[in-house]
Amino acid sequence: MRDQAETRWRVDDEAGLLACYDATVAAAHRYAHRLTGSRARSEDVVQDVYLQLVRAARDGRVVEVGAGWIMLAVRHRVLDQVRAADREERRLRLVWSSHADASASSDLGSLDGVELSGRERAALTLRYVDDLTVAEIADALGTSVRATESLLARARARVRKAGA
Amino acid sequence: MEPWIDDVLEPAEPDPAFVARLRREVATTRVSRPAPRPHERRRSWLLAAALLMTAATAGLWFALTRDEPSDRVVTPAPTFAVTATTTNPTTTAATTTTMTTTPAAAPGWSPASLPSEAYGPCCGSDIIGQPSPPFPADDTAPLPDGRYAAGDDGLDAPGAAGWSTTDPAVISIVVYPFESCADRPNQLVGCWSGAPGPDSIGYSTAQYRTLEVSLDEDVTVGVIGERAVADGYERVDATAPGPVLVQLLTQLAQHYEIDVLPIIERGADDAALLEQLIALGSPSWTTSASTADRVLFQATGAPGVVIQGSDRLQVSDGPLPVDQFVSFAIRVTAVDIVGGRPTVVYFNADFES
Repeated sequence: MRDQAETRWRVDDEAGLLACYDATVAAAHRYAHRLTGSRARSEDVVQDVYLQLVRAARDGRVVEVGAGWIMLAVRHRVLDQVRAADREERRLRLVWSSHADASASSDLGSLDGVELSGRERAALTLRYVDDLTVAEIADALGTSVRATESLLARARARVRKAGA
Repeated sequence: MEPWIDDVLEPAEPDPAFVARLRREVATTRVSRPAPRPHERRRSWLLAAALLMTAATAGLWFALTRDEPSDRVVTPAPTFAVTATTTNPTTTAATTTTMTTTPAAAPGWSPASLPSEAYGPCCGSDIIGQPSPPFPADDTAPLPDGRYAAGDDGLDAPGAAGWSTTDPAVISIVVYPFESCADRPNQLVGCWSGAPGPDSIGYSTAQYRTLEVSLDEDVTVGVIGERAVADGYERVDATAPGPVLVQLLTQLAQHYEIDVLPIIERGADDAALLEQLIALGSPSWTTSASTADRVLFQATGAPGVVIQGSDRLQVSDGPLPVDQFVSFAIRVTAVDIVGGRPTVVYFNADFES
């Protein structure tokens, strides 16, 4: 994501907004899909991001954006969802701790035989696609560096096990 | 990038039908604004002048009739501040925006005098108050009635608690018992004076409970914030029903995404961030004319939320996620438990780094 060319579009007119959309929507979807592993969730995220941009442009609060703005908005949207899912999972574990297998509530997504939780997928994407440091990923996920190292190690182990 | 990444984290192309449908939605939204014709411009100025006169009259009436001390009063709702067609004359090229309407906050903020515990640990001094009742030995037993310290970080999962845009009417808090500074010298958060008095209290993070608090009408919130005045800033304490805070948190999240993130994206440093937020001309961002070292997020009638600079908004080279930012800017500090449930939750929006 850091290598995104800094082409910028004025979004305070319809033509500029559409030019921005046409130039960035495919990349935004690809990035969202890496982060979520789900076509449906990717589409939800991408739709949210562009509608947010439209509202901001319509209100005159954003005048010019680059691809980086779009990608960052995608990342924030997904990370918010990951953190919310974590909170919900913790809540469910508290409520059902004596009845449910904790792993059953994990948001495991299967892809080519590799099962990754939403958190693992996001961490791997931030580390290996966006080239963020472990400390930066910890900040983004709202967790400790040590926990993030463990998360990445678990995710890499799953990938190795699946022979990817 | 490692070779296995594309196999595992597949960058799937979008469905053309989805792209086309969303494109239609984007294309049908009008974002450009025609320049006002001369008579419309005159009409705008006349309207603004009339509204200002009305507001000034209301403000005078308020000043003459209030009986609270001036440093404890929340500024009355500046409903006149929304002049939607006035272009800010100080706007720079990077922020050529127009004033926009800020949704009015729900009524319900009342001036209050909040206790020392509401501010939280700060500034080399002790928290003043009474120790909390001890936590029950049984982890499932409700907490006894009393006041407890609160935060949004658990030891096992820092940052796990807090507020989220996905569930805005619920806040997750971590609760710790207040203890006397004298009982555990140099071991408690908040016992920082070095000379604790009999009412000096702090808390240890070794013992805690997590609570999910529904910010509904049954819960009162106490918020410490600020307001900008001519020669600086004044502390504002106010209370409100839980849903009123939900509105403030949601508004702050929206303005963070719409106003703040684009500025950080452009690489603004601390000073530029504050300057550009003010240059937006939005009534939601205010500062003191004499000391512009911070910006306040000002929702109607609510205590102003202190924003000091991008050091509070950025982590490494990326800005904070919105939930984390909001939880950080309006941070939970203490909670009153009555009958086993939280009745008053205290927040500090006046934190100075």
